[in-house]
Amino acid sequence: MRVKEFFTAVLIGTSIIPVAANAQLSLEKLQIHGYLTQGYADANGLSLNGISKHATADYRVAALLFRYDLTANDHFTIQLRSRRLGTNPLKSIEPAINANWIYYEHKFEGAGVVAKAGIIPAPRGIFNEIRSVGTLLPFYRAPTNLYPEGFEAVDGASLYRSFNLKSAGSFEATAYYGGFDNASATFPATGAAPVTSIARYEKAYGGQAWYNTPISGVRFGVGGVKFTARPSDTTGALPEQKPFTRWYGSMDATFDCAYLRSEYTLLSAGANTGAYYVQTGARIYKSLWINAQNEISDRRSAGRKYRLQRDAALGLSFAPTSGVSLKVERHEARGYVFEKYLNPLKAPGKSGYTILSVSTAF
Amino acid sequence: MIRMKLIAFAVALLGAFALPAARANAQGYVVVVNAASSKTTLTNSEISSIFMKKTSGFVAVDQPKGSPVRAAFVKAIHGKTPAAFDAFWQGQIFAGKDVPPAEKGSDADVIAFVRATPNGIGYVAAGTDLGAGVKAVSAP
Repeated sequence: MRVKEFFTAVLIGTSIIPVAANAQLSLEKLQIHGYLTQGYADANGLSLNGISKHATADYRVAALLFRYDLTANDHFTIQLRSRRLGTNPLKSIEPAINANWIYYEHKFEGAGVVAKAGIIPAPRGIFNEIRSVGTLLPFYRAPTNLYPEGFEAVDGASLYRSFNLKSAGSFEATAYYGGFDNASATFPATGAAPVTSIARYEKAYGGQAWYNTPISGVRFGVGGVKFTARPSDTTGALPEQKPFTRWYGSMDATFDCAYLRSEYTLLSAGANTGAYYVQTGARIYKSLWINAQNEISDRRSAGRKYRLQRDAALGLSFAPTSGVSLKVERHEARGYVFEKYLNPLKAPGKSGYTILSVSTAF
Repeated sequence: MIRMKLIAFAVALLGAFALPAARANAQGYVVVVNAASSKTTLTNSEISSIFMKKTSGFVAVDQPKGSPVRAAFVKAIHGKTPAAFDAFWQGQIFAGKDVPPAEKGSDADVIAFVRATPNGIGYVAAGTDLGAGVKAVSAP
């Protein structure tokens, strides 16, 4: 499996060469960027997010992004990413190297319009497109209830347009259409080994809009996506399922010395799952920040509503330069989303976990 | 009386020419464009939009990270700390949205680029000899 993935990655990686060759390869037109976050994590209760009572350094995310300027308005981008997920069962289906973005984009000069096609980063919420870039995050990962595994990128196309509202700020809107994969792990009530799978969703159409206020750093966003699970048979005999709908609302106020962010999402899929978080932080000394976050998800099913998970976190981050960040964070989680089956009719589980991490980006 | 008015006019005229240079010196940088450009003045907001790639029509080049002139420019034009500005561009890069203006290694490199690029724009340390083919733009 690893060998196949390796050769796939090599093939995809080298595919940039003929594209560049046709455009008369010039190293001046090639930009390479990258990021890496190495974590060390330990939990003192139930395992979650790949963190167990057995402290691990098998916790990492790294990527290289290659962007080639075919012309001033045409670009080809490929991002190769590698992750280590600790005890998370998804590690068994996580490729060693994953080409998670491959797209061509064209900018319509002067029109504020950008079209992309390929595997494009899904424009949803504050963090989806940068969810793995440690130097941009106050904690090791973006809030997990709003940014779970899967639906990071869309196989399809998107159209972006910006509107300059002059003294009233600006407005940005992106529409997209395509499909995406969603990896998940389920934990049988019998205590048997977890079952991992990658579900495929198609006919996904959605959009994300941002209003950037005249106050620099303050913006509000809304978005939504509708998508349909692809039946698991290949004969076409199974009826198509009812589409899922997910809505988002975002508020982001980021300044040089402090920030306050909050987002809400609602997933309608038989049972409604709503989740939100509030994240805030302040610079307390030069490049030293204190960060706090509280994220909550609730589920409503068959007329009953219950608290699915709560994760409260407090941390410190130190960024001596914009390219390096050191973090220490402590989380207290309580609910039913752990790496073990928990009966929602019984008492919730709980766990505390600590993550030390170092991030770099260039 | 007429002499007083003439002196006042001359002082005002001198001030009008001297002020942009004085302002540039106080700020520590001078914004430069190709001599063929029709632009002679640009507001801070316009310059910010150009360097944030929100305005088309110019090809901007930046100074090296960590240089004093870059810090002065970022603070005055974008109203941000260099770290916050770099974080903005990191977000743009890794969100697949855009990449920052190319960095040139020195004032001389910036001037050479702007001189060779009809729609080029950059900034150099105040007091730098611009030479032919490049001109400074001032605040309106």
